[in-house]
Amino acid sequence: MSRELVAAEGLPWPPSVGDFYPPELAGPWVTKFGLMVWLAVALIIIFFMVTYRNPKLVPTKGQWMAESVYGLVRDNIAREQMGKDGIRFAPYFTVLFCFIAVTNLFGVTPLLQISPNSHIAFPIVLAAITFFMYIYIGVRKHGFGRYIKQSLIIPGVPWPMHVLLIPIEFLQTFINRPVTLAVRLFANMFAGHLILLVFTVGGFVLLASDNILIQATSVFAFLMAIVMAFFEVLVSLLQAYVFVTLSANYIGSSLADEH
Amino acid sequence: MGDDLHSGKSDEHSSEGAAGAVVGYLLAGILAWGFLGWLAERFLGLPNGLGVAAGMILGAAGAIYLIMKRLSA
Repeated sequence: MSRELVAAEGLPWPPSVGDFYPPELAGPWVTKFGLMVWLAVALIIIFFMVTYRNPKLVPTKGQWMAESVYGLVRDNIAREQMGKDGIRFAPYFTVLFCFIAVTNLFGVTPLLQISPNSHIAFPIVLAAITFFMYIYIGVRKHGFGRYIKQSLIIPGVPWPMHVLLIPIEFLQTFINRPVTLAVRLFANMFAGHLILLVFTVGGFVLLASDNILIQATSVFAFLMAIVMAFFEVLVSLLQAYVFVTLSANYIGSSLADEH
Repeated sequence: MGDDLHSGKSDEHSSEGAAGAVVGYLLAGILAWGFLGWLAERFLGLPNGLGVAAGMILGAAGAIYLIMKRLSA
């Protein structure tokens, strides 16, 4: 019964993890996710070009929006996490923030309906950029040996304790950081998509029931889907903010001088 | 999991970063030394679970010490 109804809606049934791997559109390199990433890049470029093409002293509405985004990232993320040094990273962080926010918001955009970040490959790439960036910046600033020493060894600790502490520091700095960065973003978007899927598809299944009382409860499922869609907007922006904040924090700790 | 290890500048700002670092270090300590304990247990032929348990406790203690050193200064 429900199977027929859901099939009529064109939904895959039963829903499975496979739904997170959309089919190739043209050849192995062109997928829905790939196109969405290009779309996000295009949107960001167009947005900033249009709003900054003709900057005014008294900003127009568009210019004000672009400046607010940049100001938020520069003051509340870059400067707060890294101090004065952060300012020169602010453009990169702004682009990163916009890219993650836009791709996350695709998850609640009609017709697109899923975020590329709910596929682990995309967060992995973003986290890898941060990972190599903070190692590269640390090595460039301090030299390889001193950077490793500074990240692994705490001054003012009796030497036998280092045996205990170095594995912990190593795991934290070089393994946990990139892994948690990628998994946090991925899991949030994956779970968000799953929640929307459950309430929407669940609503249709309840609606297809024979019993009028059960059909009536589908209202709650749809209501919940709507509430969760708004919650997803919040999560999308929050996760973009968290990702960029932590990236700034890691790069800042690579740049810091002595402890 | 920010570790604002150094200098006063980041200390006061990112309390959420410090909170993340505490959890991260605890987890890292338990994982790292739990794994080393498991290896030791494997190769030294200790009774099952003893190495892992000892490693995890040691790792947690080390992590707490590390947190005190890194984040309290």
